[in-house]
Amino acid sequence: MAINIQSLYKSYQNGDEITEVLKDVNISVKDGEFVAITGPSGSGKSTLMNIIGCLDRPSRGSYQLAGEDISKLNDYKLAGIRNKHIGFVFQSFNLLPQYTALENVELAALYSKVSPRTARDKARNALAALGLEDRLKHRPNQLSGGQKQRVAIARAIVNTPSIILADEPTGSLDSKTGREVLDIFKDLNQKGKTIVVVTHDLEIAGQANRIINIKDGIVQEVPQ
Amino acid sequence: MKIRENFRSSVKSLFHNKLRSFLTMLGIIIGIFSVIMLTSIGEGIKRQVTSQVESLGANLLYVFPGKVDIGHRNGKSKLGVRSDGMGPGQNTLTYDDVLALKGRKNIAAVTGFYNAVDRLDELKIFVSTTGVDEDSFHISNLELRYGSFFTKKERLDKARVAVIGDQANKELFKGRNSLGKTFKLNGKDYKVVGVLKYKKPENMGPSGEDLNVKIYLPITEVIARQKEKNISQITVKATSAEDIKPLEKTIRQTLLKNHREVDFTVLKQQDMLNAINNILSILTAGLGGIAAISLLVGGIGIMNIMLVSVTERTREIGVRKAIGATRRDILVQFLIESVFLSIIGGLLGLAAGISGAKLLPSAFPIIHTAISIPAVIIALLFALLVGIFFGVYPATKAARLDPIEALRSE
Ligand SMILES: Nc1ncnc2c1ncn2[C@@H]1O[C@H](COP(=O)(O)OP(=O)(O)OP(=O)(O)O)[C@@H](O)[C@H]1O
Ligand SMILES: [Mg+2]
Repeated sequence: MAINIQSLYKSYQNGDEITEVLKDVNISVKDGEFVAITGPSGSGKSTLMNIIGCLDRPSRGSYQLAGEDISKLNDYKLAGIRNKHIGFVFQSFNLLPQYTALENVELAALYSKVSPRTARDKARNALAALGLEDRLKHRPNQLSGGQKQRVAIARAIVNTPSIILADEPTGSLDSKTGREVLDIFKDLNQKGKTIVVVTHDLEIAGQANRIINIKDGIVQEVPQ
Repeated sequence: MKIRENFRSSVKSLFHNKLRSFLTMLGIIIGIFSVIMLTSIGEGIKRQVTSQVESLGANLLYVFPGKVDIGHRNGKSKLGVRSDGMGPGQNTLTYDDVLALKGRKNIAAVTGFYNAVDRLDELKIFVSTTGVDEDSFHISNLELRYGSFFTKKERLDKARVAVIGDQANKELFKGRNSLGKTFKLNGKDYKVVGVLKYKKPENMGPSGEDLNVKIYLPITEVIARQKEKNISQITVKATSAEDIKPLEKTIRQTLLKNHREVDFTVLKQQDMLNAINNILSILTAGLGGIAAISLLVGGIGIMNIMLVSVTERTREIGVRKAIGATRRDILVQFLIESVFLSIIGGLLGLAAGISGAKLLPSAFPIIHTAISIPAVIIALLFALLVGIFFGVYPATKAARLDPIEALRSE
């Protein structure tokens, strides 16, 4: 699913004060690309990711996903896109503490309205693919940081989406574990998934096909 | 997500916070508990009174002086008793009315009642005595320990004989067999011909009084020495249930021969039961209504905790939305949580209420309870409604949360 963003603006209004976070952004990402987004803190990287992930809407401009204009879709349709076509990975894992690893992954499958049995099988397979078959019944607080992030990645891929969006996925991990997570993304990319990673880590950025830099809301392609 | 999975998801969240879930339910538990307790106490009183009225004897009709409208034959009020012209001096029921009724068709027994106050010389006190006919024995279902009730002959002779209650026998004769012994009323000797069996005060007598302190005298003897000749009540026993209706007419026609107008009231036992039941139903509903307020408070408690929960779990809601939950999924999940809390709370309250209603009489023997099924059903439906009503707002709030703000929240 190709991502196509044209003259996109995002601003926030707090009382009289208007903050322009993204200014005239133009980006296109083709199927199967591995894109890194870098930039200083507060530059609008997460804001852009949330728009790409259909969690947020632009203030102006157009965003087309697989040729479809996202701004025309209702909440129900957007939820479906987030569920089936996009997988999110966050810096702080965002696993639900009351659920086991298996249940956390299963949840994403259940929201896609498959039968509970199918959801369970899919979740088991996704966790097995990330080498967590012996941690199914562990709750997040019984897992290491790297394991938690692998559970989160399993959750992101359980519905076999074509795009994976990762916002500083290694930000909470030590460098060795971070490298392992990076390898997982590279592997997924090799299997055909589009990967967009926000990162401060130049090593990760170096692995990407393309690097996009944001500064003060303005996006620039970094030539390699 | 399918509803069943939403349900599992909700239950898991509630179990994750066991103590809080229980405390939230407590409001509903207490609410349902008090509704069940209070309505079963009300219902218990109703059944007790009904059984007491019925224990007075079957197929009874009562004649009272004055015109009492019971039910709603010509009054505006639909509850209870309206009375006209019952002022003093207007009592026009006399012993002649009793005599006129004796031997009429459909009548098995008939007695007048005259309540007098006499000086009991032995104990130097004033006591209330009751003048009745010999038929009173059958009509009031009296049970004797010694002797027998006074006879028709004794009544006709205005004999100074008495049938006394257990307590009276204790105080006058130390509880021994006092048949043939005498005691003094107003300086005259009265001979004991019968002693009543001890009755628990809660099984009260015909007019709701304690049978144990009764002193029954022949009504003719009592009237003969009183200035005031009018009697307070006539009780008639019909030969069978089918005869009650025609008998009511017979009584009215018979009495009208001695009266210029209808200045008396004929009541069937059923009329009295209906009137009492009306009043007690209102009482029960009132008690239940008061208890329902605590249910409402419980509902507000649920809403309060659900709102806290929505705030606390803002991030969770954001995560759920990010992985594909629709607004409906979130709404249904939170709604199920509040409904589940109120239903489980309702069932626990029901269990507590039913056991409380069953145990209460053993702690306080005076209180009788009877669990009313309609009250149970209404209470549970109400709990369900409370769960939905007070769950909708927090659930809508959760569903409307902006996923970005939810994810940004700490
Ligand atoms: N709801 C909001 N109202 C006002 N300003 C906001 C809001 N959300 C974000 N911002 C502002 O938008 C800017 C970009 O935020 P964003 O989270 O996208 O930065 P970032 O590039 O991801 O930074 P970091 O590297 O620290 O994660 C920030 O200056 C922030 O203050
Ligand atoms: Mg960020």
